[in-house]
Amino acid sequence: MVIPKKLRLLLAAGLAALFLVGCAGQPKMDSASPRAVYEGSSHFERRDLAFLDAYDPLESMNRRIYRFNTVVDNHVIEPVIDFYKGVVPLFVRDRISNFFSNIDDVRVMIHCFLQGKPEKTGKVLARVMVNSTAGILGFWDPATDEGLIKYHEDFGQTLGVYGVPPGFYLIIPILGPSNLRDATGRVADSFGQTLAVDQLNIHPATDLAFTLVDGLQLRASLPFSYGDFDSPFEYEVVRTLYLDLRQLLVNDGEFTEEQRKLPKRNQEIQP
Amino acid sequence: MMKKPVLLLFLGLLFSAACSAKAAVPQIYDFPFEDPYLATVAGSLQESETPPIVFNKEVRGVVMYKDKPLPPLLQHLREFTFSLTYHEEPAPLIFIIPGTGSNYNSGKTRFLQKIFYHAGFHAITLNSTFNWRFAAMGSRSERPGIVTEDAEDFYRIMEEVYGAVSSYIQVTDFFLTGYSLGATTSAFVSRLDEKARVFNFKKVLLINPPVNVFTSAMIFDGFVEQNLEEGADVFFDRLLEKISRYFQYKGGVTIDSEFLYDIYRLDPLTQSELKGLIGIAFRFALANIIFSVDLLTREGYVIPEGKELSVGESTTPYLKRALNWRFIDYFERVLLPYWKSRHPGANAEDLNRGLGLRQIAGYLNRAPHIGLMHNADDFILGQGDLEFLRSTFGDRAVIYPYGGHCGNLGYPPNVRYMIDFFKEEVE
Repeated sequence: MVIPKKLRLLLAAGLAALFLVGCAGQPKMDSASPRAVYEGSSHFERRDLAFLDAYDPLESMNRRIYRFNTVVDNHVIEPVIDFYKGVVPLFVRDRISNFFSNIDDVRVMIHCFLQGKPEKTGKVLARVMVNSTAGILGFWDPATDEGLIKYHEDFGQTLGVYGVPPGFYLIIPILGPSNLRDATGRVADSFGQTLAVDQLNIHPATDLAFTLVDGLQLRASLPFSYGDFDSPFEYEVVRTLYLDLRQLLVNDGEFTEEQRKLPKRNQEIQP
Repeated sequence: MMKKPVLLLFLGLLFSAACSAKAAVPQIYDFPFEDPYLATVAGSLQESETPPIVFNKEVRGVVMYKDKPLPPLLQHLREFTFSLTYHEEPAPLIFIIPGTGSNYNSGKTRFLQKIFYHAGFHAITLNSTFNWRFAAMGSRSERPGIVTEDAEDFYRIMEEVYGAVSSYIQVTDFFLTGYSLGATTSAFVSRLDEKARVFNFKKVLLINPPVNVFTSAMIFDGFVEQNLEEGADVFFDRLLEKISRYFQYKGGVTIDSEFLYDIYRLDPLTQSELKGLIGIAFRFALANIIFSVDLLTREGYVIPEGKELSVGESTTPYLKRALNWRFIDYFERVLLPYWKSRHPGANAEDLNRGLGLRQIAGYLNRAPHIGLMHNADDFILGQGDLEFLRSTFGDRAVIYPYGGHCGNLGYPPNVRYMIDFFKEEVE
């Protein structure tokens, strides 16, 4: 799966624009202050709490988009979700969720293959076969009960497996937290999907309807939303959790030494 | 989105947080967790068995101070938000006040709202007095933490809130409950109502209140100082390692009610880790308040004086600084100077005494409509606190042997007790 030239140009232009906006919004630090702040009497050293740090050069813009997303989510998306949940019974929602999850498993399988994991690829293949047949076109999920669990793989993870670093943190309008690698992966994945839709001769209207229902169901299955932390530091909390948990996903759940915060600190301290 | 499960874990912790006349200590109580810390952390699990969806639900807000200027970062808090579930026909109304830092929509609060709604009550959930919403749009001093003052401000909010809904719900009687810090607020609000008589609460239930807020705060300070000795980063790494086991087992993230349980089952947290987690959750709630109070008062506690923070600006340095503040720092540097300016000649002991139920022990002792639901193993209680509660409330105190701090709120016998406590008066 290669990103077409046009798209690459578009992406590059978009990112350049993001950079500029980010820089423009950067406020200047005011160093002179009449009264000293209090650093607190707890034992966290200055170098501690490194887990809250992130490579976030676009922070200023990201925070604005995060605020924008919060407003859109709370005032537009959530009411729609509430309506959907009120009108469509749980049984039906579960069927919809399973159906799209089964289609998604095809993509998961491709990524397992691309990552050079034959065993995992086989498991997902078996999962798709079981659910498509015994699960009646994927509306049910008997595979999970047989020990064929649902994996989550996407292009961002595949890039990660091949050593592509996450790059800077990024908040995408509406879609939410991401980073340069994962955002690129998203573009690639949706391009792949468009390709598949073309090949399978699916009507654009059908594709659009599917995409909308899929998105709706996906959002409806998440029990939390923007603003749930109810904290002035929600941005930091979400950033930390997104980046660290995403790293776990790339490594198939394994906590690697490079993810550890402490040795990093010690290395920094040692000259 | 992967942030969700850990959010669940975190929220469950953050939103930490019942006795008819002849009730005594229950004879048989098969609560599954005998460890109070585990109960507190894992207790939220059982809330998955919540009743079905509520249809008559509204989220609304009241503006307490119309012309009050708010800093850019707090602009969206202009309305003091609350949630109402209501019935078309006349019904009793219950106010629910959540614990430290929590808002009208937190897990435990929503749970209580649901059970009371289904028991036939209109139910209004509010925000904790130690939530930034209260600091911005409730507290006149903009320095939450002094329970007497907070209760006065809170009482005014409750009047406004009722005024905002009274035109379309028919209320037969008023009831009040709160858990954790919200229970302390409830006790003081009830006493204010005794004189003001706006609501005439028929019954008030205090769930796991701290007897003295300062004592409980010092206990949380200790949890962080003693259990995160190696630093926050090591602690965070260790938690991630545990979550990692879960990822490997589940193949990714599945957001379901068993998330916490699975993590625990795959790699149990030690008691020290549980205490650390509880301490950090409260420390985070404190950091929220310190930062918000500083934005409002411009006292330069953690934000350099004269610094104007815009929406796009990083708050990470302030989060780190605020996380290094202990509750004692907030007490000494924010509350005490303010208290002294209001009460010349007063000292720390005077303030400390005012931060709890002991100062209204006489009222609580004589108020037959106030009940208490607590746990013998609740670690927020200091020495002698349990005895104080027993002697003050007498047979209106129901003390369960287990449950930690609000860990048994969703446990069926407790739910039954809470509903019976209020229902008794309705029928």
